[in-house]
Parts: sequence; structure tokens; C-alpha cells
Amino acid sequence: MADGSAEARASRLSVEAAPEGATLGSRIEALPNAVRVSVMLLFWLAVWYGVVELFNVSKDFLPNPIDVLTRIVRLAWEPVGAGALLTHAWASIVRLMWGFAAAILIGVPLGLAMAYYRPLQWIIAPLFELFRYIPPIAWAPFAMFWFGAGSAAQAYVIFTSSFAPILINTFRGVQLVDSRLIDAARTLGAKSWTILFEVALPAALPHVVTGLRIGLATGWMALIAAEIVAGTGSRDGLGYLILQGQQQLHADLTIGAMVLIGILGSLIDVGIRTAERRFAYWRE
Amino acid sequence: MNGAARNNGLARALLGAISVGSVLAAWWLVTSLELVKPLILPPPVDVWTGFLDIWHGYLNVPFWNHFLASISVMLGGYAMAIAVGVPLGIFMAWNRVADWVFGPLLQILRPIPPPAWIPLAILWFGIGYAGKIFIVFVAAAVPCILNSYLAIKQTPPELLNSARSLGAKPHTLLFEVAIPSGLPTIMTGLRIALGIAWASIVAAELVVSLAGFGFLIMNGYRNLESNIVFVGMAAVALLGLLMNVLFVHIERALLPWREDQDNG
Repeated sequence: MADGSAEARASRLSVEAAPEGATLGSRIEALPNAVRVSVMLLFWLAVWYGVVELFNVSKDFLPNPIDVLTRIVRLAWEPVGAGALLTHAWASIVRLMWGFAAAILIGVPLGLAMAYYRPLQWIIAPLFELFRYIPPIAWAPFAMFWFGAGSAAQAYVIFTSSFAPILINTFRGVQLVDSRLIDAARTLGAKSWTILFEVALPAALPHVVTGLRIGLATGWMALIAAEIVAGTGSRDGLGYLILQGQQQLHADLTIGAMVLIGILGSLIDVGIRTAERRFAYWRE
Repeated sequence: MNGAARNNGLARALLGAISVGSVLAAWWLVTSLELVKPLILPPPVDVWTGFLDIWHGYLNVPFWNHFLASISVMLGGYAMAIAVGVPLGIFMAWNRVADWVFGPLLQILRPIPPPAWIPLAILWFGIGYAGKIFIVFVAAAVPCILNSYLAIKQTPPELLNSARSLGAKPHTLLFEVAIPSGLPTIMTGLRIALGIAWASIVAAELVVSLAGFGFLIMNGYRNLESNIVFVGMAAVALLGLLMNVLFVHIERALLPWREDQDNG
């Protein structure tokens, strides 16, 4: 895709060598990535608009991009269900954070302990395998039996989805720590607690952070699913907006909310990637 | 050394059996002492009767109807995702114009989680099979495209250069060098897509459906029959596991030269 022009240049498989005179293709290639991407996005928006206008598609079926944009702007102050846009976005983010925080609080220590103390690994691993193949969203009904149809049930679904990548990556990270580091620390007389917190954990940190990033991404996906499946109790959240649009036959609301979810999801991903780079700067 | 390893294996099996066994025992004990309501955690006996209920036709719908509804829709969407995604990914990696045109579109659609498409699919295709096939397609196409793209981009340059120096034509380079060398990566994408497709069909059935395992789970929820929910979840997990095992076997048969089977 259009990311990483260096990578693209290094491995591009174009067979013919670029001719001396600047062809159209090589001129386009010389353009900055951002320009090329924005032009193409405008082109796709124009295609969308053109299809809707040309075939006279009903607004309830597929509104044109301008309708969707207006709907998003209107959503900023016009309440749907529990409130306007910020209410819904905030409700979604709070749920995500509850589920994610619970997954970190249980997943990271458990992964550490499993890697550090082998019998624990033998005890937990079979149980983990037992539950691994249940899709997170399939937990929604039990979550609603346990916590009622509301935010807590949705946070639980997020927890089940974030937990596995966080646990596995923490576990692998500690397991992959160079044993010479641990031996060296031991030779210098370090106690096992010191080794755990000052050798193993810092060395495993890049893996832990990667686990957090994957966990947050899967949690975000589970959140939207949970708000659509288990959102009957709470009348807020971005997933609720999507569902409202469908139930009231307002396709512009549904698509607008999908766009917002995509933007917010990308922002979260960019944020945690930046954090990953900062925390794991020593990673080769 | 060998004896120690065997002891380790024995201890591992023993601890594993004890842990699973004690969880099952705790389940039985807690429910038979009625410490929790059957709604919160159904007793093993209820789960068994729930299983028999579903097996003999829960709500007069035979078990195999649910099975076929979920499996056929999932396979339909999955097959479409492969048929579109793999050629598109390869094409984008091979042809820079295709990359410029489709790359930005994919980048903008990718961050939208597959479940977010469910209401739109209902709006567009109604509550029948077409909408669910669409959801599975949208969800499974992404890993198919991405991995095929990566597979071709990561062809070792020395392979391409040596083929080129032997006078290979562009389409020979693609079909006899780049694609075979990228096949393991493509297969990994298909395996990831299979898991996503299965989770998506269950999610879609949870939202709206007339048959399928997601329907069973949601119906159990609506009727407050937690044992039906339990059996539905177990069936989904078991089938997911079976499909994954089956896929790995197919992958080994197709790519016998591939030694490492990463669990990505």
C-alpha cells in the first residue's frame, strides 16, 4: 500500500528499467505519497458521488458523500439517543478503557508469572486453550446474564478480546529474554525479584507493548460488535449510532458513524504506535 | 537429561489434567450446591439436556439446519474473499498503478471493524443470506489482500534477478517465481481470514438471523436459557478449532516443503 516509500522503492518489481525521459508513470511516482493518496481518495469520493447521482440511488440505501459529511457535522450537536457525538464517542472510549485496563491488569502479571514459574504455565495453558476458540462476541449473552445489558457487559466482551494477545505476548516476551542476561544478573548476586523486575521485565517490554497494541486493536473491534449486539441496555456508543441508523433507515447516520469509528480507530492505533516507539526505542 | 525431560512432560500432563479437572469439578460443585443460579452458570446436566435439545431439533429446527446455515454462508463469503482478495493483492504488488489506485481505498476502509458493517449489510441486503455473505466477504478479504500483497513484495530480489538474467518474461517472473515463493505468506493470510470469517458469521447471526449457531446463542439469551447459550458457544469453538486443524492439514499437503508452521 502507499505506506513506506523506501520499502516500496527497494522492492518494487517493475521489470523494465525506467526510461531516461520522464514518463507519466515516473512523474507520478516522484510525487509525495500524501499528494498521491489524497488525489486518489478524492477520485474514489467522486466515484461514490457519481454512482449515487447517476443511478439515482435512494438516500435510504446509499447517501452521497456530502450527505454523510453533513450528517457527521450535524451529529456534533444534534442528539441521537443519549446525546450528541461527544457523548457517544466518550461512552465508547470509556468502555474500551475499562475492558482494556482489566485485560492489562490480569494479562500482564499472569503472562509474567507463567513465563517465570513453569508449573503455572502448565496449569493455565490448557484452560487458555479451552477458551481460545470462542469468538469474543459470542460471550455477549453470558456477559449480559452476568452484568446486565449495559456497559459492564460490553467491557467484559472487550476484556475477552484484549486478554489473549496481551497474555501471549507478555509470556513470549519474558520467555525470549536472553538467558545470558539472567545468568549474568544471577552471577552478580541479584535476587529473583530483582531479576524479574530489573532484567526480565525491561527486556520483555517491547513484546509487552506489542501485545498491548494488538489487544487495543482487537478490543476496539470487539467494542463495536458488543455495542451492536449487546447495546440494548445502554443508549450510547458509536456502535449504537450505526445500529440506530439501520433501524430508522437512516443510511447516512450508519455510514457517518462507520467513518467516525474508522477515524477514531486509526487515531488510537497511531497513538499506541507512537507510544510503542517511545517505550521500545532500544529495540533493534 | 532424557529422564528429566520425560518427568517434565509427565508433570506437565498431570498439572494440565488437574487444572482442567478441578475447573470441571468446581463447575459441578458450585452448580449442584446451588451457589449460583442456573442462569449465571448452567449445571452440567442442563448443558447436556440443552445439547440433546439442539441435537434433536431445538424449536423444531433440526441441528443440521443450523450447521449448514452457518457453515455454508461462511464458506460462501470466504470463497468470494479469496477469489477477489488474492488476485487483487497480487495485482497491487505487481503493478504500481493498481497500487496507487486501490491502496488508498484499502487504507481508508481497513480501520473500520468488520462488525461495523453488519447494520449496513442488513440495510442493503436484508436479513437473509446475502447480507451475511457480504459481511464475511468484507471481513475476510482484508487479510487475503494484505498477505498476498506482502507475499509478492517480499519476493527475494536474488530469485527475481536470476530468473531475469535467464531471460524470463514478466509473466513468467510473476507466475513461476514471485507467486510460488510467496505462497506460504498467502496461505497464512487465508488461515487468518478463515478465523475472522468464522467470528464474523457468528457476530452477524447474533444481530439478526433465522438459523445458525449465532441464532441459537441469541435465542438462548432471549429465552433466558443459559444452557442453550453454553452449547452454542461450545459448538462455535469446536467448529472453529476443527476448521483450523483442517486448514493446517490442507496447508501441509499443498506446501510440503514448508517446514515451519508458525502460529501467527
